[in-house]
Amino acid sequence: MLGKLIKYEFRATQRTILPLLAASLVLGVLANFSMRSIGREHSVFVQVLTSALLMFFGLSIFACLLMSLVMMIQRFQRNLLTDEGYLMFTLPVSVHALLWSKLIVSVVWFAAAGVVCLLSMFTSVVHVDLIGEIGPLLHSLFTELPPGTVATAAEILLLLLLGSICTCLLFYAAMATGFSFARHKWLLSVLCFFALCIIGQIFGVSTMTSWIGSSVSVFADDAMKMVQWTLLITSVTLVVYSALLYLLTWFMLRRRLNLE
Amino acid sequence: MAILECKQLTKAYGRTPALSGVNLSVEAGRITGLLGPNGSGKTTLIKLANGLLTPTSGTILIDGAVPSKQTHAVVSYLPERACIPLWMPARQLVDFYADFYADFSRQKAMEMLERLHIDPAQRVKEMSKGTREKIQLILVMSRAARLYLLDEPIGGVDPATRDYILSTIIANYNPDAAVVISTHLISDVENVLDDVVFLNQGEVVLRSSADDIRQSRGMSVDALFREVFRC
Repeated sequence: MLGKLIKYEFRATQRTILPLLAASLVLGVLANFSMRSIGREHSVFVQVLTSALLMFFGLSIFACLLMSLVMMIQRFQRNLLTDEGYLMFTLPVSVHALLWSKLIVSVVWFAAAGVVCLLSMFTSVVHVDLIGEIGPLLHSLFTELPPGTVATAAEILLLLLLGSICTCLLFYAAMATGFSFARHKWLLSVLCFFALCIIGQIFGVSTMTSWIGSSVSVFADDAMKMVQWTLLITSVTLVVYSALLYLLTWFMLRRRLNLE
Repeated sequence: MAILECKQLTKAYGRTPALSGVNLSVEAGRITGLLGPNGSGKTTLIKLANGLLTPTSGTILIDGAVPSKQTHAVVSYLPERACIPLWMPARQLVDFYADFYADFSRQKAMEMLERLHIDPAQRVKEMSKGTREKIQLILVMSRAARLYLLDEPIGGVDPATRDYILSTIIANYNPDAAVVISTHLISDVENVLDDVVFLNQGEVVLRSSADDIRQSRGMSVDALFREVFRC
């Protein structure tokens, strides 16, 4: 059933985000041509067009990132906490499946938006003659990396993934709590969001302070190892915080659901 | 065994009671009218049966089990408001129901859509309110469920649509299933009801068969309702 939920979640969201991602890629290519024509083209019309293209390119990058966040919030609220909730919570699926479907699809769109933005920024600056040299360049980069770099990069990617999951759950938990009240649902959601952020900050800062305090002497001679362990501890902290947010969201949806 | 059973079911919103010690059982093969004025607890009872609310005390059982994803598979629920996603075309809604409910008949749904001249390619957001309600009813009645919970199925629609909705309920429900219709528009549903339950301020004030009311009291269910709930 989770697979079916994910299928419909993608169908509901792709109509909005895919055109934006495609536009960002196309504008990246156009921005490349625009930047190359700067200084060479003296026509006012072309200069205005070039500036407009670059501005739209910047906006499209911003829109991709913002839209993936807005869509994550809007889908959770509209699909689970308003009238559509009557349909979704009476399907023969668990609240866990509903939550995971939203979470997985949102994280996929976060990742897609991030990759597309990097790709379109790269496209906007790369010279056509250099494209053939990218392969050898990446190869030499990976073969000449100092030991431990790949592991650190993997940990950073894991941290980004956990950070995305945690961000979604932070919004979900705040909305699930705020919308359980009879009135002022959005206001209470915002207040819950800030309260959960503060709790998360206290939890994160206290964990990291105690970790750094105890690890400096242990890893004094191996900075790379200390970075790796710090990333690992941060990941574990994020997992624990995310698990608490997930449980809060699940409890509010299972026990305190308040559909009008 | 009763398909829907409530034992001392109580639900309060804060300090305000919505249902107080309700005892009720609904058997298969019967159409039961859950009748009461606005705020009498009809919707709360149906939401509890669907697991959308948690009882304050007491129990509510569907086919012997507390509301859960297992009971959702045997309950076909029509909420009092339109809840279908607006972005979906009618055909995709049919696919959605077919994907999630094993007892859903795609053929039956498509036939009803055709009979009502509803374009399967049309998006829900482009449809009128009445058409949306008809689609929702088509989806609910295209299932071969054990229990149909219909919350105000005829509220807010024109008389012609009311007739269509009631005839659809009668024509499509599974005879081994139970149907619970919650409404305060008694005269419109009276003829299809086997049993009636009067709810007032969260309590069951009368439970009887519709025929008994007519024979023993010599009045229609609608007339009795007006007498019981006279302001």
